Amino acid sequence: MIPFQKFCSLITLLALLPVGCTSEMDGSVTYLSTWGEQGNDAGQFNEPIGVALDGNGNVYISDAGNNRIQKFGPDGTFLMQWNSGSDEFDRPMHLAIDDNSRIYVPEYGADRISVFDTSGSFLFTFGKSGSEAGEFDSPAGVGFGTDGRIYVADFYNHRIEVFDSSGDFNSQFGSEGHDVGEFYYPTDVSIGSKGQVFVADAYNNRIQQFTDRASPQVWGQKGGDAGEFEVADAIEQGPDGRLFIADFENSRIQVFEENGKYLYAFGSQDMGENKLDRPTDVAVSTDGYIYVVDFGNNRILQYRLN
Amino acid sequence: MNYRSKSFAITLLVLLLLFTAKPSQAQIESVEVRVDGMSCPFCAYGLEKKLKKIEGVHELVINIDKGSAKLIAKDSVAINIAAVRPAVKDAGFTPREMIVTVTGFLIERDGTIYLIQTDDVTRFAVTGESAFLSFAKSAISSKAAVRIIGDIDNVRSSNNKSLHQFLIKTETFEEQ
Repeated sequence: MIPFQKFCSLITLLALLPVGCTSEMDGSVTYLSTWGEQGNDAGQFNEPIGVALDGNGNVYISDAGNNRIQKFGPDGTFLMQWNSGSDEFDRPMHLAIDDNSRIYVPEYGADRISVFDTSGSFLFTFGKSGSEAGEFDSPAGVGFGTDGRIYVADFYNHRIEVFDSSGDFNSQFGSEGHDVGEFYYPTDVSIGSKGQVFVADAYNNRIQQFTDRASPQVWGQKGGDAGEFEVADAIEQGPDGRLFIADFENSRIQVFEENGKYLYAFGSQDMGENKLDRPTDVAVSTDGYIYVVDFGNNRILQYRLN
Repeated sequence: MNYRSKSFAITLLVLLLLFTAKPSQAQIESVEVRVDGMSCPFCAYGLEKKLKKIEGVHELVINIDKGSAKLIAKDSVAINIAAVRPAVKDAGFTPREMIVTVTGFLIERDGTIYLIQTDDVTRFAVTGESAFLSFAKSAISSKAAVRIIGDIDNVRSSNNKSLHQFLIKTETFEEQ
């Protein structure tokens, strides 16, 4: 039996532990902190969707329900916000920042990509509504090739479109379907160091990797087991090349090798108030900090790679 | 114009108004459509994008948890109800029931109760339980404006392909 005094000391010690303390999760990542709540004031969110990081570790969030972008410091300190480019935002989705620190905002409701610098100054826009080459029907995510080309997941057209760095149309691939090489509502795209194109083929519940466009590699299927997905809605490559994939309905982030080998998952375990509720995006900094958009809880969670 | 002429002109105007005035056209206040499979923001915002293009939609409220979209009408502009189900399908969903809130006047033709419409391409038949049928009989007799909430569905017209016929199964009703 535990002596009464020791028992009281233990209880006191547990009570003194800070609520936001660092705690181990899944062995591979460590939960650090969280910020945000539902609302429309600075630092609050209403259906946040996308996250991207600039070279200084600043965090940009597309606050889709509030039709704005919010910028935070690496620790979650609110810095600034803006809500328009050539026009007011119409549902900004997955953000991406290129090597020239330009922020790309796919506007799902306006069928265009708006581009900004890191202070929120509007630079240019490209795309318009439609299904012809260079047009969009709800662009959802952006990725960048090593050659500077811009890849866009064109949700309702079930395809990936490729543009040069100034936004001029270059090529496209994919069509609606469930076979290899086809897409069913793609939501995000990321380009590997060897030029591989990884597509979050969201409603086929899988990832497709294109090293050449004729024979993509596919992994994932609908389900809740390791390596399976219930809406694979975002993909991000970490500094070591590993792929972080937001698994929306399973409320977790799954991590894979570039070849599709499953490594681990985090976020879905019962961590009390830190448990994810339908994540929509993930970003990983070069020094190993992970930011997850916790859509269902209107907040951002920060982790660190171990 | 002297006093007598003025009186005659006013009387004529009143008589003209009395004989030519028609009850106001039924006014759709809102349409709420339930859909299957709407769980994520890509779905919700996609549905929003497709539905807000429909003529007459002033405001749109998407409820992800409930799986529904509510279309609220502009003043004096009718929501094009026939366009709702195709827009839901275009957004990638299967539309389920649609609940309409509508105000207007009732008439009876050949044993069927209708909301008065002044356009030639839309017709709303109205049905309901016995309590509604009694209410409708009274409202028709007194020419009272009514407000109806009910499940609305397309009804095919066998002899007029350009006519959009709808049947409203009344759940809630009241005099205006």
